[in-house]
Amino acid sequence: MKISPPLVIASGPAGRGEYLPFLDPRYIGAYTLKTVTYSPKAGNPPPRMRASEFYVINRIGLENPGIHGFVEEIKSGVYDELFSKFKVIVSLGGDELSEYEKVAQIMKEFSGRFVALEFNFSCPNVKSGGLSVISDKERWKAALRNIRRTLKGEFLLAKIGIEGIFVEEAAMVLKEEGWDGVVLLNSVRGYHKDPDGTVIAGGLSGPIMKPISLRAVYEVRKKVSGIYIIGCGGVYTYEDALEYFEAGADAVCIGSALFKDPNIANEIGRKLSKGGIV
Amino acid sequence: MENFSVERKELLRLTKDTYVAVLGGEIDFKPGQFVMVDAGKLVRKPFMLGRWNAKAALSIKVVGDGTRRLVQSDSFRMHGPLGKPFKIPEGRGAVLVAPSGAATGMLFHEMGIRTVICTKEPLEIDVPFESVVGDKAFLKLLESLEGNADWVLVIGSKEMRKRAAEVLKDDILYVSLDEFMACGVGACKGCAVFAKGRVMHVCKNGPIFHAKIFGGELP
Repeated sequence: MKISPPLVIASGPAGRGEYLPFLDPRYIGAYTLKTVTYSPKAGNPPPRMRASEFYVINRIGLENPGIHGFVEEIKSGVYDELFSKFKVIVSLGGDELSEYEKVAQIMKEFSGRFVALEFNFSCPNVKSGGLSVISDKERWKAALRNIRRTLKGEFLLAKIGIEGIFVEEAAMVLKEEGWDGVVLLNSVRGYHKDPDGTVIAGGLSGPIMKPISLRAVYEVRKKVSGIYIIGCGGVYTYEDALEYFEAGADAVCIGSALFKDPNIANEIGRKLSKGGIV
Repeated sequence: MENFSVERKELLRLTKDTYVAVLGGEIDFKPGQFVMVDAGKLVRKPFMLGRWNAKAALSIKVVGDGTRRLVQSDSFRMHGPLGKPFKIPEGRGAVLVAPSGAATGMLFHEMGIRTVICTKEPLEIDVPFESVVGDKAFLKLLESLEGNADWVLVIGSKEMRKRAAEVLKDDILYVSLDEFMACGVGACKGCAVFAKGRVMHVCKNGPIFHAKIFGGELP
């Protein structure tokens, strides 16, 4: 995957292209759409999000129109402006591995529209799918093999977390099954309580994730050669991005920093373009 | 929809914790729209746009460090205008605002719509529209509107909305919801509410909703 600068808008916060008016295509390497699952999902009931000084926590629950709805959106031109301005990564998922295989089949016809296809094996906010699908490693390997076969020649990314499997072990499996890269990390399960007692048990993102994700990048780079690594978690400044490259990332994601200021992504991308990393 | 900075021209204290910040420069917005303002936190905070002294304005209630910093700030960084504009219904209307919606109230007042600011304590400055002070007066106001208004919009606390829904028929009631928002643009799906099982987002489908769509169960 060739993207320049090596900066990716993360799946989740990026939604379905809503940040397009704020982003400068010159400074964004790729834009990842919010995960699309086989079946439509309405997502979790509110409250879904909170923020503190160091983290954003969410329990969205993969709200999305489902793969068939998504295909209709592609056909009707919903993403045409996004496609015309940015390289786009599609993020895909399902409630069970057979659904991941089905969405791969369905996306085959449209894969040429995307610079990479990311499979989300790590959403912490759904009862089935997400984190749970990698619990049976042999079955996961078989699914990876099938998806690889279906999407032959496409750049395949797996978004993984730190729960259920060691990241370096997951990356090794992905490499063995012919996958091209990993997105490290998805949000990590966290617990937040408001003063009024409202609890959000969801996924953590934001600055609190940076040291955790950096370690994940470091470990994967050290132990798995030749795999493309997108570092994801707590990138709010150019210096944060540099830390990821030093740890071994090929590219970085901007996610919840968009909530602080959508222009942060442009600024980091501009500096990366000037800094000679691309 | 833009990401921009704007100077604060004037700051007026309405109550011990609520202010109106009058902005420099024009913002092209419609009633019911809002901006996401950087208060030095990880996530921007939504404020409904309004007017004061013939300029764009925001009402800010100090609830923590971020909003305290905002009222002390000489300029604001924000993106917007966001949200679905409120299509003003036909007939006799009334807009009931808490002090935290005062600037929006002023906008409706200037449009010739009856506007009432509903406060716990008397305001520290004069406003050119009606005001009621205290819970009893607020309930009395609601009762007076039942049968005498074609539509009522409530921009205030969850308790105000709840009381309004108890007194007024939901086909005349409109409410501004304040579910936690992170992006304001419909991307993150964080501000979801469910209306009869259908997911809606306060930032895109609102923030003002017809109470009727919730089937008697306001979020």
